[in-house]
Amino acid sequence: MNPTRTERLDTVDSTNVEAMRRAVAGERGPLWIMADVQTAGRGRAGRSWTSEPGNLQASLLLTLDTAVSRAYQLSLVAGIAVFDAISAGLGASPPGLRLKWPNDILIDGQKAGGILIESSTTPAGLAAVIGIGINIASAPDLPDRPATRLADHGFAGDSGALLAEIADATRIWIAIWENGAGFEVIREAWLNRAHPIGERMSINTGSERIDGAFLGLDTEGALLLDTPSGARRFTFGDVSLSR
Amino acid sequence: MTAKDEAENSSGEQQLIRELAKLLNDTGLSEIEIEKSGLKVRVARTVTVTAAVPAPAQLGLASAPVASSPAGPGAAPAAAGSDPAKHPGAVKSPMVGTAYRSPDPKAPPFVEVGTRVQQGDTLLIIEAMKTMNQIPAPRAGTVTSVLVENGQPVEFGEPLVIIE
Repeated sequence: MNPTRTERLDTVDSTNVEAMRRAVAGERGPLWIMADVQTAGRGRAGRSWTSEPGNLQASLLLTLDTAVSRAYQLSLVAGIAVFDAISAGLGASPPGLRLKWPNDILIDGQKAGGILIESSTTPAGLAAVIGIGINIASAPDLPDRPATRLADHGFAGDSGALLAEIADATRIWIAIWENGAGFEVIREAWLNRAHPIGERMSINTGSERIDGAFLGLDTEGALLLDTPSGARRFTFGDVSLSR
Repeated sequence: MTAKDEAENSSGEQQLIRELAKLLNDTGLSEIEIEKSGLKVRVARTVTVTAAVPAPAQLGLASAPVASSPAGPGAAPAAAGSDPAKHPGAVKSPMVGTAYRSPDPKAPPFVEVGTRVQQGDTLLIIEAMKTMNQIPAPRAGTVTSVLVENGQPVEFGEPLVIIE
């Protein structure tokens, strides 16, 4: 793989959109695109991702020699890498730092960051874009889910410093993942960083909301919940921890 | 045709299907279709682990980690018919996930029936675990059929749209 480059932009609509534009134009990466301001940052299901001054907004473009059916595994890979980078940035792993399926970063149950991955098949291979948003200096005021910022938990660096840590960790975990051959290691590593087995949570799939207890991940990384109607497996949906 | 002929034919067909299934495994192909003297046989198997999982919606824990081996029950003959999957213009799902027809709930669909597409244009998005995978048009043409609804779970190999 070529050496990783980083490009820092003042303003962009969305770092994910910009990274995908580069892929379409022939860029193969690995390339990090970081922006001080996103004017149209996005989350899952078209939700907007507010861009606050001092926070990190960045996307990694990779071209992978793997099937699109395995691209979803990057969701767990990226979650682990961001978790490790924040751990390092906070000096030690604070007891409240956890991954929530598939890759939200929680501190004491409050969201400190999120990841949105997009892929597209190009002539050069599978273009994958890992978009990362981390609340460093400010936490958005969200009506439905509590948010926090790293500055409240002893993080003294800026977005550039955090991105350097994330880039290092991502490179390492992508190498461990090995285009999917190392997924079992990824699954284990993810579980070690997640909320404990038995944690109460609910998942909203868009068509229904199901309460249950966390049972772990299946061999493909899907969420397993113990629900009133038995054990169920989920590959999409929004998870909220019960509080 | 006598009963004996029929029995021999049937046995010959079974033999043919067995041989094709073996060929499928030996070659690593996912599908073989042959046609001769009025007989059409298609033998297909699921290739990836993802495809071997029955359904994304619900699965007992005991059966969750099981993936069928390529040589196992995954190899099964499929009858030739007129389903959309057989259509030469069918674009099939490369993965298990949830299909979305637009980039976000408020945006118009990527394509509708009648949309002219160029090779590489995004037809829809399939989500698995917060990974949004754009499914590109494999060739230029006109969308004549959209076979999935917004938010619908899709299986590996399921026909998504038809481009003619």
